[in-house]
Amino acid sequence: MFWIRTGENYQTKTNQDFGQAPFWINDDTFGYVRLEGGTRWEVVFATLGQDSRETAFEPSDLEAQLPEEQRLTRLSIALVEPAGSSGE
Amino acid sequence: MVIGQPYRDTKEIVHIFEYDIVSDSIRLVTDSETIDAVDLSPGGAILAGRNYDSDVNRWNYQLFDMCEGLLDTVFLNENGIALYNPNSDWSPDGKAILAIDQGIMYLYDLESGRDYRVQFPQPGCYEAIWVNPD
Repeated sequence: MFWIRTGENYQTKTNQDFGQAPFWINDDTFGYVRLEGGTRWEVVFATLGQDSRETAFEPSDLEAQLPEEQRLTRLSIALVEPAGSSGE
Repeated sequence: MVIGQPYRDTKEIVHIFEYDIVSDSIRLVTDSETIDAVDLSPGGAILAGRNYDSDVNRWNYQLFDMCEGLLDTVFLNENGIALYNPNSDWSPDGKAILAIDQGIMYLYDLESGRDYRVQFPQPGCYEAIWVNPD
């Protein structure tokens, strides 16, 4: 579970979702790796103040990019890091 | 940047992908042995990270060009051995990496492809960060 704190002195705590590796895309939009249905990881985007989630991609989308001989095992999403988030 | 890790892969090869949020497309960049402590350069052109070379049983600190794949293995000592556990940080302009290992600070200059020891051992120091490009 992760949550977001907003408001004065960050006192407002909003539970978000079951997931990991959250990252910001801009001041309003963030993404994270979500455990969908307790069995499947996917990367989703969300907007502050809205409950809806947009699925960006899931492991099968990654697997589809591999050469055929490497598609024998399923992939998990181990880590996501947005460009521009480092060194700032 | 996305790292996909196969379930139950005994060789622990991971795949490094790039997801373009504008075009909603995914591209395989390269493969690597298990990698951690990853750090994308500002702008996302180069990925730095620590990975394990199972052939010689040691950790390396490597740079991956997000277009070309493996770029360089950096932060080797005079015997060609990688720093044990470097904590690193890209400069804000993406031209250099600071790393600190066992109290010694190193600087890798991307343009020259060389790294330098910039500080003698300082017991207790374990992390270096950039404040501005200089």
